[in-house]
Amino acid sequence: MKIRILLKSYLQLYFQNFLYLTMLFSIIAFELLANHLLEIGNLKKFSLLLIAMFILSLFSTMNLYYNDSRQNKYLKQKINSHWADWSSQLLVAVITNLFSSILIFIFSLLLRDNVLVDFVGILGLFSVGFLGSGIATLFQTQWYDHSTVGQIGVLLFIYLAFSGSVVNILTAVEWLLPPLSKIIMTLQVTSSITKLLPIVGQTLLYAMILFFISGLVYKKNRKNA
Amino acid sequence: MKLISVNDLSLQIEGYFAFKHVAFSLSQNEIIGINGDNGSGKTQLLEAIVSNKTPDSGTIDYTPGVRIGYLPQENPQVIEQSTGKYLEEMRRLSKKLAVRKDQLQAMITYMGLSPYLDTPVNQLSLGLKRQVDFLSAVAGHPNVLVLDEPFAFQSEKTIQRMLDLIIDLKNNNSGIILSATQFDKRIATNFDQLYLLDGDLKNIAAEQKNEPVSLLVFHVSPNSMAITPDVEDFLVSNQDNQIELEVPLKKRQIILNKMVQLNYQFEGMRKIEN
Repeated sequence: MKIRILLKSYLQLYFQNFLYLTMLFSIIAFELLANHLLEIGNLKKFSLLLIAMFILSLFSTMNLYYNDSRQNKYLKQKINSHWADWSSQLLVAVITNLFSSILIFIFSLLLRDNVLVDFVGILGLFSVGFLGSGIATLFQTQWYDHSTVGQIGVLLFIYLAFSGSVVNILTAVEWLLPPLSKIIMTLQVTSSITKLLPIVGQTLLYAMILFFISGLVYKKNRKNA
Repeated sequence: MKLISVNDLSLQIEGYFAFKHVAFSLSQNEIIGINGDNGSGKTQLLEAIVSNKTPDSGTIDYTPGVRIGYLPQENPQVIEQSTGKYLEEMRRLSKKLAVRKDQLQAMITYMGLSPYLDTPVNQLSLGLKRQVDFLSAVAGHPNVLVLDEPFAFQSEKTIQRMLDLIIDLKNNNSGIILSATQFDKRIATNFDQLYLLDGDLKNIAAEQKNEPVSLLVFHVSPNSMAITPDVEDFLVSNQDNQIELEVPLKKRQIILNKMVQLNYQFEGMRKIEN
């Protein structure tokens, strides 16, 4: 019951000020025009879509927590369950990213008869979207008690996500960094989207760990409040 | 039985005390009113009681099993659900401890909200939204009900209905805390304790008990003007062209002058023993 009420509220907040839908439809418009505007192959196009998906979910999830901090204070007091709140945040991330990744992949004109390619394509988009949501969830404190820490954290993670496999100095600790750039770099040297499967799994695991850490950190904060 | 004990509670906001050294307790079958000017820290105090704010010093002790229902001064939530569905959902949050479904329906009818059951809450007027928020706080059948400015934007009739529900909750072993800038005397008569928050918390009822009061009697003439709100607070009777005001002795002269200015004819005075 508690999760249902919070999930409904979160989904309402996600769509509330059209930021998500505007960004999503801008991406769809871009991918429909990309073949005509840019002379790039399917893999390069898919790389751009992965970056767009990451940014879409990061900004939309940040917007969700911004709306949440302004509107849901008393609802959460009534619900009074940290883990119901955390589960709802996780479910919203899964539902919205699944919706976005399916829609973006369909309109990317990359759909093939090969089910595995389609599955890995959608899963790849979903994983980077889930990663963006995980970062926004971990640093949701930017809209609550510690705005500076939250904002610096998001900026740092965005930088690390894009530069992890590009900046030489970071390659030694690459496994610690958000694997977005690793997916992009792998796409540049591979011939098929299906080769991404292991890194997609790593990305999903990484995002899930971010969600778990946020669950533990904010449970502790709530106890201290 | 005590439900909540507030002990030497202080809260600072950006270096200024919202309130300091506040101490009181709330028991079962008790209604407490807290008066205070705008900015006196009433909302901050209530937010601390419902654990939305962490005080700088002092403690709040909750008796095990205490469940708090809270009507905030302003609820920023945008509720797109219909009034009926929303209230039912809020009721079900408290599971078996909540009021029964038929009891909630009866409360909705009593408050006059039945015509709005299918209307989304965010489309209701401000006054109706407050009533919905009030019912959502009551629907969980809390044993502590905390109400911040509950009667704002409400008609006399609605205020009386809300008071009836509050008193009913009190009679069912709950404790209630209400706050407002100034409670009408007719409302305040329902309170067991009345406090004034002005930096610290003073028990007005106790002060008033020790304060001698006079009964001022005036005759209403055809050119008498309407009584102003500051005088209305002392009104105890208004019938047969005669008005009676119960005024503390130290305010007697000020109120007398005011009534003469409003063209009421002073008929006499008598001191009332407490």
